[in-house]
Amino acid sequence: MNAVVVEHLTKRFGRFVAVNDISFTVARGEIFGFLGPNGSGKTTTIRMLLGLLPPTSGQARVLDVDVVRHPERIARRVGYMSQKFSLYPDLTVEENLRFYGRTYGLRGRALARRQDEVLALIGLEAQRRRLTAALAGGWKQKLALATALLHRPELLVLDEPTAGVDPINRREFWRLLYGLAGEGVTVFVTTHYMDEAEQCHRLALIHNGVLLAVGAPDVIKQTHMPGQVVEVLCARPRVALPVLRAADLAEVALYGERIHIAGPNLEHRLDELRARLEAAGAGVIALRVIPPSLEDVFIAQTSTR
Amino acid sequence: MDRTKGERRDSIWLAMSIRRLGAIIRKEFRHIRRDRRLFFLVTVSPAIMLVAFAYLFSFDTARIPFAYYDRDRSAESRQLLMALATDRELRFVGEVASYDDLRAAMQAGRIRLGLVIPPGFGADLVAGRTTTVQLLGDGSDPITAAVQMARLTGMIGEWGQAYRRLNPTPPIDVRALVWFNPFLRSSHSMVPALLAIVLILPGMAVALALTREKELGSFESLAATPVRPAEYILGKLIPYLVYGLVGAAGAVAVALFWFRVPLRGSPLDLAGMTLFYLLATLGVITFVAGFMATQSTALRAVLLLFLVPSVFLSGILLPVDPQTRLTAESLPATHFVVIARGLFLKGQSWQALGRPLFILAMMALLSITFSILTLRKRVG
Repeated sequence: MNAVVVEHLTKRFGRFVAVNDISFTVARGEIFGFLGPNGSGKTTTIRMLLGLLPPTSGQARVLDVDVVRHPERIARRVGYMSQKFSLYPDLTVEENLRFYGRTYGLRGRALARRQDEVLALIGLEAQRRRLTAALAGGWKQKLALATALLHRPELLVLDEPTAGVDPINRREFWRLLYGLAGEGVTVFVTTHYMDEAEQCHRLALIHNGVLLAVGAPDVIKQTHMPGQVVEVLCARPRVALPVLRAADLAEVALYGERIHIAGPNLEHRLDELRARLEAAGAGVIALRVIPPSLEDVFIAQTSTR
Repeated sequence: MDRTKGERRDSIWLAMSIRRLGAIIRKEFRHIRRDRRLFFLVTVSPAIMLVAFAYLFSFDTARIPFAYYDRDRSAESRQLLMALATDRELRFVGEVASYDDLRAAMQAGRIRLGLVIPPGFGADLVAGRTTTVQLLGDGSDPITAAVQMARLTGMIGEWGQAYRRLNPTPPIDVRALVWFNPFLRSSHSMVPALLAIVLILPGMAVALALTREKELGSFESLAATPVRPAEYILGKLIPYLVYGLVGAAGAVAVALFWFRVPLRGSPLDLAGMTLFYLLATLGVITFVAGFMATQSTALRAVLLLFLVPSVFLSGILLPVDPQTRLTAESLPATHFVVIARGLFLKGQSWQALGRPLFILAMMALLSITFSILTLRKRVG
C-alpha cells in the first residue's frame, strides 16, 4: 500500500517551472528522502502534497486523498514540520503543544496524556514550562517534531528538519524518525545532507524541479552512476588537479586532500592517469576504484543534464 | 483537471469550530500579554498619543506673545490693557514706542499679536462715540492669527460693552453666540475627534500580529492544520478588539479628566459606537495586512493608508474638502469624527448618528468577510 502516489506533478510560477513533471510513490511505513539542493523544488512539492498549493497539472494522492481536489481533507492525517522553525517563541513548550493539539481537536485529558507522551518521546519533560525561545536549537527541532506528532498522523512530512542542527542532535533526531517508522508512521523528509539521505529506505533525487532518480540509496548508486569513481591520493593535490581536469574526465572534485574523479571505463585508464600525474610531479600515493557515494551520483547526474 | 470542484470548497470557508477559535483567541491573548511593546501599543498608547496630539493640534493651549502701542495713555486705555493682561492665553512681552518697533518685534518673532490704541480712544469712550483700536496678527501662521484675532476682537468688544454698561450710551451692538462650544475652545472639538486617530493603534497592532505570524513561519504551519480562515481571522481580531476597548477607555478618560471635555451624550452610546469603530478599523486593516508579507511593510501601509490620511482628511483639522471627499469617506476615521463630536459636544443620540454608524457597521462587516475570503490559506 502506498502512502503517497504522485503522477506527472508540475508547478509553474509564471514562466518559472518549479516542479517539472515528477512521478514517484512512497510506501507506508518507509522513510522516504527527498534529496536536492536549495531551490530544487522540494518545498514546492511538499506544499502541493499538503494541499497548501494547487499544482499546475498532474495528480497527487496522499493517504488515498486526492489532494488536488480535496486539500482540506488531508490536514487531520498529516503532521507537518516546515522548514522554518514555526513554534511561538513567546509561549512555553507546553503552551505550544496545547495550542497545536487544540487546533487538531484534542482537548482535556486526552490532550494532556498525548502531550506527556510526545514530551517523553523527545525527552523534554523537564523543560515543559520553559519559554520556547530559551530552548537550544536541537531541542527546538525535537519540539517541532513532537508538535507534528500530537494528533498521531499517519504521514509525517518534514522539510529540512535538521538544517543548522549539530551532528549529535541530528543523529538523535534520526533515531526518533526510525522509531516512528518502526511504529508504522510514513516519513517523508527532505534534506540536502548526503549522510542523511543514505539513511532513508528510499530516496528521490531532485534538481531544478526534475527528478533524477528514485530508489533505495544502494540501488541508485549502482544504476545511476555512469562509469566508476576513482579516489586519487597524492602528495601535492594542487598540482594534480589541473592535470586531471585536462584529462577528459566526467567529474573532478576535491574532498580535503583527496580527489574524486569519475568517468566511463576509468579502471582501464588508471595507468595512463598515474603516468600523467607522475610526469607533472604530483607525487602519487594511490589510485583506487571506490564505490560511488550519493554525492558522486548526484554530481554525475546534474552535470550530464 | 476538475477545477470547479476545487472552487466550490470556498463556500465552506466561512464554517468554523468554536473550539479551534477558542484555541486561537487564548493564544493571541498570551502573545499580547507577553509582548510588552504590543501590550503598550494597544492599551496605553492611545491615551498617551491623545495627549500628545491634542497639544500638537490645539490652537488654544500655547501662550501667544503680545505687545501693545498705546498712543492714548489714558485711564481707559490702561483699563483695557489690564483686562487683556488677565487673559491666560496671552503673554505680555511689553509696550513699544512706535509702529516700527511693533513691526520689528513681529518680524523677529518676539510677538505674534499687536494692539494699537489710537489717540483720543479714552475721550471717545467717555463721550459715548464709537471708537477703534487696531489688532495686528502674524500671518505667517494664519490659523493661530485668525483664531487669536477673533478671540481678541471678542474680548475687546466685551470689555467695551462692559464699559458702556457702567457708562450708558446707545451703541449699535452685534451679539455673536456660538453654540456647543461657547468659548471656541479648539481642544473641545479636537480631543473627541482625535479619538478616531489614536484608536487606529490597536489596528496597527493587529497588522503587526498578522504579519509576524507570516515572518515566523507559523502561518504556514497553521495552514497545514485543520484551522479554517474564519477561525484564524476572528481569533486574531477578538483579542485586539477587547484590548482596543481597554485602550479606548483610557483615551476617553484622558479626554474627560485631563482636557475636561464635556460628554453630553450617553456613555453607553459612546461605548457602543467605539466598538463599531474598532471593528471597522481592525477589519479594514486586517484586510490590507492580508496582502503584506512582513511587519515593516504592514507598519508602513497602516501609516500611509490610514494614520496620515485620517489626520489630514477626516475633518479633524479642517472640514472635509469636497475634492478629497471620496477618500475621506472611505476612511473609518471620518465617520467616527462625526460620531465623537456629536456625542461629546452636541449630546446627540445614536439615532441622530445613524448614517456614520451604519457606514462603520458595513465597513466592519464587509472588511472582515473579505479578509476571511481572501486569506491565503494556501501558501506560496
